[in-house]
Amino acid sequence: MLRYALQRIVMTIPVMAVVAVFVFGLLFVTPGDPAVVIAGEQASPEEVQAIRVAMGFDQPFYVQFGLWAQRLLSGDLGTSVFSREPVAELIAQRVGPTLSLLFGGLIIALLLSVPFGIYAAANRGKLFDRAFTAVTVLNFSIPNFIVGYLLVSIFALGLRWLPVQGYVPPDRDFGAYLLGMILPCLTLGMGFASLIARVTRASMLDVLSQDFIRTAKAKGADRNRILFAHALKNASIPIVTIVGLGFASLIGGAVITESIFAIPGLGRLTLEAISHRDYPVIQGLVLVFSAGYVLVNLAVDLIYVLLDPRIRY
Amino acid sequence: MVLLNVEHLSTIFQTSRGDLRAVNDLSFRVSKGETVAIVGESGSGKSVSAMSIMRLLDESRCRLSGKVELKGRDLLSADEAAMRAIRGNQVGLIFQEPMTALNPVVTVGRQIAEAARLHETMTRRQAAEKAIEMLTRVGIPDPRRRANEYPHQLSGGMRQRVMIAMALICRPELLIADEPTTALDVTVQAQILDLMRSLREQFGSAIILITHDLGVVAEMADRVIIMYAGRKVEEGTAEEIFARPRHPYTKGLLGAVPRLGSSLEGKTGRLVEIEGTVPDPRVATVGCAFAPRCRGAADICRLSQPGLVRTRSDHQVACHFATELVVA
Repeated sequence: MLRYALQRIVMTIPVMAVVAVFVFGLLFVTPGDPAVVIAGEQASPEEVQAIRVAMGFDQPFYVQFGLWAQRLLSGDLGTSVFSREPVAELIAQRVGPTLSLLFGGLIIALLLSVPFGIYAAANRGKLFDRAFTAVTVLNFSIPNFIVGYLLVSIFALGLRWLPVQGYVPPDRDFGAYLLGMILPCLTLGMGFASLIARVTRASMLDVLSQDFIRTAKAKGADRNRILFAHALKNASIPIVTIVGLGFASLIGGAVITESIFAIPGLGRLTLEAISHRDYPVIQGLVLVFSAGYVLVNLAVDLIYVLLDPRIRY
Repeated sequence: MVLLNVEHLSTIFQTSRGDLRAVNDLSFRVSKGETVAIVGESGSGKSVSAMSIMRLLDESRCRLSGKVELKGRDLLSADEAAMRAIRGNQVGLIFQEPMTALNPVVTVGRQIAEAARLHETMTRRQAAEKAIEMLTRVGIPDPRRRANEYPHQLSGGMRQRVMIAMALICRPELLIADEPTTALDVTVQAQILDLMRSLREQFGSAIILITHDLGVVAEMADRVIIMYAGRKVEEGTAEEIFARPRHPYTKGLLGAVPRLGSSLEGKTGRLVEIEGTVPDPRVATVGCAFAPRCRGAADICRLSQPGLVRTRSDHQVACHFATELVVA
């Protein structure tokens, strides 16, 4: 297990290298001259040229990439052309709210989905199962910004139970932090919950029809034992898989959710960087998001081994 | 003493294309310590009978009728909790495919121990020890190590031994074995049959052996029930059935077994097959279900269903011509 884990961790290095080349190349081929953006609209061609030379934009691709990669390895993601702050610092300031949102959204998604998915599978074809199917389809079809505004109008504006928007850091007021995160996490988690719930139901149904479930019944196991001791562990591989794959869309959802709730996270930073054509920041953010995705899927691969003894690479 | 008494058991599946009568008016008894083989082709209703007796079918999709008594207690009217207390405890089950019948993500030791813990109060450790003891009894070498392994790490024969250990851990009075050797290699089949015979001596369990393999029947069974299209068509002691089969279907089955020494050069030169296929159970038949495939079928066979007739004290058969000597 340990050897496999190490192998898998080492394998993420070439993946991240490819991501780095891709991120750098993508911006290189993007139309628009960053030197012009940095210099501002009133700059003369000479000034632009000076910036171009100073930033190394006149060098060939591989030289630029080499310099960039070298700095990257020492933890230097460059400097924002807009705020003049180091990109690594900008990201570090903003990563907390986004991590809270992603984890909170994921936990809510799992809590809303897995129990209902199991219950629907155990009661296949009955009223609950049919209602479940309808609700998940409906919920999945509603874009998450609509869900967000709906939740705000009910729980914040209507009932006044929760704040409308904003973010309080946990070290300042932990209670306020939790209250403020409820609606954003719900907004982010609900759409994802539908997907996980459908996969849970389908996966449980598949497992429940297998022979070893009949064996468990023949031993005298009751329904709960069959569902939780025998079926769930077998059914959890597709669930874990969809959580890993869906993480990318969760990141996308976080960008929108942060905008709705005015949360100063990486999503907002991304939008700002794009509107300012702040290339170093965009590069840094894409790298961080990619690294997050790679890490989540590394975790998924390691969880597989814990769940299914047949998986050995 | 009668352990299991099945009377007029019928199992009807409700399908979108109409009712499917999988078991039709089946009656038989199993005495303490006796081995009864239920023999038939695929689709003859033999497995469904066993599942019906243990109430393991999805009863929202099928209807059971008749009577099933285990030591005088009616199982068809028992509630789910009562059935759970019986399953794995008084009645153990072994299934055909030991690969899929074992949970792939739970160690075999725990799967065996679970059967014990479900019915007897004991600690996890006691159950684990008991599981290891059972693994020893079913002839698995190095049981302490094997108990911590998963089904995919064992061979097919060992997996079936694990199934047997699991079924016998609570010393059931009745063991239902549904095609226990079908999925195994021939040499392993012989080992498993040996094991079942020796455990039958040790545990004194009665066995219902469901099979289509007459070789297995000859080695194990005291009594044989032949099923065709959901009905019992013949029943007798194993000796009787093999020596004096009465039903043309039974004769066909026996004729389809290859024998050493029978000349392949002779006038037949090949195995005798039973022509045709098992009838669609959704189509209600008027006469004998076997009539379309029977070479001795007469008009009466197509018009009326033959009832079971006792030809000797230990032999019953459902054929209009059972008492005549030459059929087919």
